[in-house]
Amino acid sequence: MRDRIRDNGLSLFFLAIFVLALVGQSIAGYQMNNEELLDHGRPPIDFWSFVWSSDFLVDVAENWQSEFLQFFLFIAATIWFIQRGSPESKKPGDEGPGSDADQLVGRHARPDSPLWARIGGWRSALYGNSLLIVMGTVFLLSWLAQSLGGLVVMNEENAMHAAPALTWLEYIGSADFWNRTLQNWQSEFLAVGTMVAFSIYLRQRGSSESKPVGAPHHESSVESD
Amino acid sequence: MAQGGETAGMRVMFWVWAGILAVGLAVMIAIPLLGR
Repeated sequence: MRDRIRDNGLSLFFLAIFVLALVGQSIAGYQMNNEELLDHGRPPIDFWSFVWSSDFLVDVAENWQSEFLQFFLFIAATIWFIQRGSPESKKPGDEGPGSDADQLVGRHARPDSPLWARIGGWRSALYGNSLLIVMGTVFLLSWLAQSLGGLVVMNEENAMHAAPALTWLEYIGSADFWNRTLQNWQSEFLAVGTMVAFSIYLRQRGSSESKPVGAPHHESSVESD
Repeated sequence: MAQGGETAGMRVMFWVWAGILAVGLAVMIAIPLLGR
């Protein structure tokens, strides 16, 4: 049991703080929502009505989409772009998807390689891009969720101010939709860019996200050696 | 690199996170479509 927890500690740690943060967001969001309702002379709602409302879910979705876009772009960009000296990057000259031999695909697979890597053909091609496909799909679905939830919230506000309701197409062209979207994107891109550049010169002893403390600044990914 | 084979814990972690995404996305899409 102890080994099982230690073997999966990284996933379990993020699972625990994800749940805590989501619960915290729901409590803070609930209080803020009820304060706004009272300001507009409307009765407060109960906690679970808030949790199952677009008011809460649009805020969750707008953060999900930007995080998954961040990882989608990071995974895709690191195929083709390199940053000399960054452990987040392959070495200069290694750009591109790599050969079947490098990637242990088809006849180059090992006996313990995943079945769809050994099998070749379309299944190996699909499996070879499965991380990017899944992260991209989650990004698109959460961005869709953000647009649907944002539309409901905007139309609730419009109704309070006797303004006409928007259609979904009108909403995805609106300043509200793009403000929610881009305020999240800019911070993700800033953090990734900073991580790539800072990891050339800075170190965290013991972290897989860092080069070894004594590795020279010009050395890129250790794993691609 | 010394390590054991695939464990049940690895599969559980994969499916826990996949489940969170599936349920989360389904809820976040369904609730606004229901007009709530």
